[in-house]
Amino acid sequence: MAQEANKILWRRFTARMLESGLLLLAVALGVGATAAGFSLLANTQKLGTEMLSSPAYREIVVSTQTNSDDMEVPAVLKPTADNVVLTANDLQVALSVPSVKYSYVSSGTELRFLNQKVIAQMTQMGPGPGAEAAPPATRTTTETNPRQGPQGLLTADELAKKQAEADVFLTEVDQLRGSSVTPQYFDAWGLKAAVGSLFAESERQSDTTLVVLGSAAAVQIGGTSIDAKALVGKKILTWEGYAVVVGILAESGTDTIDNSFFSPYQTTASDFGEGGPPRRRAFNVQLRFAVSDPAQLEQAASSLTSLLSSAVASDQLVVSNPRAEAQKLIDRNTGIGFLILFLALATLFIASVNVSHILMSRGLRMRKGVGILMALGASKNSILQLFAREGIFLSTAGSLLGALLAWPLSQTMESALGLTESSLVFLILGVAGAWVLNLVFSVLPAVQNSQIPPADAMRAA
Amino acid sequence: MITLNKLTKEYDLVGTKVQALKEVSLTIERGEYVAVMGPSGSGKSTLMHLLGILDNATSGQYLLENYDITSLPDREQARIRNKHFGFIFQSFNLFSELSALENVMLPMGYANVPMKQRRDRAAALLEEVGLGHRMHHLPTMMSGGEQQRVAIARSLSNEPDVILADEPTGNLPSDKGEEIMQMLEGFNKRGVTIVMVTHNPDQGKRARRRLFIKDGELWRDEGTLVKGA
Ligand SMILES: Nc1ncnc2c1ncn2[C@@H]1O[C@H](COP(=O)(O)OP(=O)(O)O)[C@@H](O)[C@H]1O
Ligand SMILES: [Mg+2]
Repeated sequence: MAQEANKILWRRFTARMLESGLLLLAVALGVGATAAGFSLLANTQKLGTEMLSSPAYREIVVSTQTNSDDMEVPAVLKPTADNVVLTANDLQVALSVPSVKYSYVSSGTELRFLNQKVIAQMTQMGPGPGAEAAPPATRTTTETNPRQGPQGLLTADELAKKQAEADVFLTEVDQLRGSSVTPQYFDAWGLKAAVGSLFAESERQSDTTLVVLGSAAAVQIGGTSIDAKALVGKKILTWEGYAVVVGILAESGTDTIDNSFFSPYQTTASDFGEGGPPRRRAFNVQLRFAVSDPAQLEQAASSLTSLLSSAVASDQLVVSNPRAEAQKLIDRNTGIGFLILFLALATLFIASVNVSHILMSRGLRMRKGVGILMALGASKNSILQLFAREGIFLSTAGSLLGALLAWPLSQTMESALGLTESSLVFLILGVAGAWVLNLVFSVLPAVQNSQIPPADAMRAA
Repeated sequence: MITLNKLTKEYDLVGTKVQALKEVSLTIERGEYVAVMGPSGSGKSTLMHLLGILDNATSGQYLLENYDITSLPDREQARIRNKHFGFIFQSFNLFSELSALENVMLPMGYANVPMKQRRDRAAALLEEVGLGHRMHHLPTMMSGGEQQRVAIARSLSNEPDVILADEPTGNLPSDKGEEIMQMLEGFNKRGVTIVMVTHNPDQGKRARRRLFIKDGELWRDEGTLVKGA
């Protein structure tokens, strides 16, 4: 190989550093923008598809105006005739809508556990409940307001006694977040018990709190010393009595589910019972109706609206279709992605055409040189390779520079459009694609420059 | 060694055909020293290009060592140019981006001579043409005579059988031209065939054979090796 010929082109390239630098920059901008645009579009599509495949986007959510914003805070304490709220009993309308496969209520809750550590802290800090009038010299924690259940506050001895019982389990964990749900929740989210069982409709009124643990939550509660599976059937001591573990879920792939527990959602009689303030779980209900085919969502929404309008004043009823909302967002981002990719491709095209043009004119300026090289023994093929190397170098160096630009650019755009996790693979694919496009334009002049007969090239001034 | 048989070259100039060379037939033996003479535009350079396979004839036959090379593939033609011919031009045609040494190394690159050998041989050749002390200088820093000596060293780098020189002294003052002439004569004495275009009748006389070209035709061929005229 004639390294000397490469030197000629390289020295020509570096002798015109301004022009060459601008060419590199143009390629870098085109490639960078194209890669970022492609990455944005591809990530939007990928995350959108992933998101919509979640069961959450196969549901219609129904609530009332007053509680649609926040299901934790009761808007209405006492239902009156003209101000009726939805309850879990309203899930029954699902029976009249064939497209609805599952219906459920889910509400956030938590378990607070009792163990030696908690008892020790409590006894240290002050006397138990019922002794609230005791001298305030000792600070009582307000966070752990001992509004506790039947146990009251146990002494360490009592606790130790309970611990000795075979079916009682004390956990080192202080508390665990979870949801109280109606049983079809598990079906709607495709959750199966790995050990033990789920609770069924008939069990949800039972007196002890039944608990199904997510796979990660089970490990957390069980600690490392005990096999999580051995938890099934155990009674875990909480501030509000025993929580009986009936089952442990198979791993779901969703962190929030795996780290939660699930207990039966309590309704009816006790909700409004005994003249006292209704238990708040009966209120602020968001009813969820899951369909099997997302195409049925619209139809299900309108059926549910008309059915529930009779139960609740229609101006109070809020029926929302999260999928439609999400789809709108995805469509908007897709549109933006296409626009950016289109503009970026235009930039890349202009940059490429310029590279092509300048390389062609550099070749023409070197016509005589090409003739001399051929006289000295260069074949057309070796001339082609010579110029192609220049094009490949320009294109590759520009693309590498472009990759450096694309990274922060795509990060900025993607976070601006709310794409949380973006795949680097798309950025790399984008750079590669743009590189190939640009390469075609950069190598094309080499073909032209190698097709001159040597005698013609020699005669060129 | 070289036999041309009714070699014709036509150029297509915007529709009209220009015959730059008309049915030229001649034979050049190994070791000859041939001067090509004739008025400007008569076809001398065209003949040199055809001899050096820088161009293909429109019709006729070109035998090199009895081997018909009229329509060889480009790759083969490039190899023959590289191995068998050395070119010297009126305007030197050195690469201004390369040092004298690199210019001389260039043809050896196309012959795949190993790098070290390339460098050594190029240095020796430059030494031989009296430029050993200017090997790393760029052509732009050299006088015309020096540049042409670099070009001569370059033409010899692959030990060619034939040196084709198209008005090698045309751009040089007469004393420098004389230096070049003596070098060429020296190489001829060592057995290198030389075909040289010249306008200078004195230079023509020093060649043992003279070809006169007029309007693309070979109208006189005088010299020792010519049978008939
Ligand atoms: N590429 C070309 N296209 C058209 N005509 C050409 C071309 N090259 C040479 N000619 C013509 O061929 C003729 C011979 O040219 P050339 O061989 O260069 O003459 P010389 O070297 O004897 O001065 C001239 O008339 C010239 O104009
Ligand atoms: Mg000429």
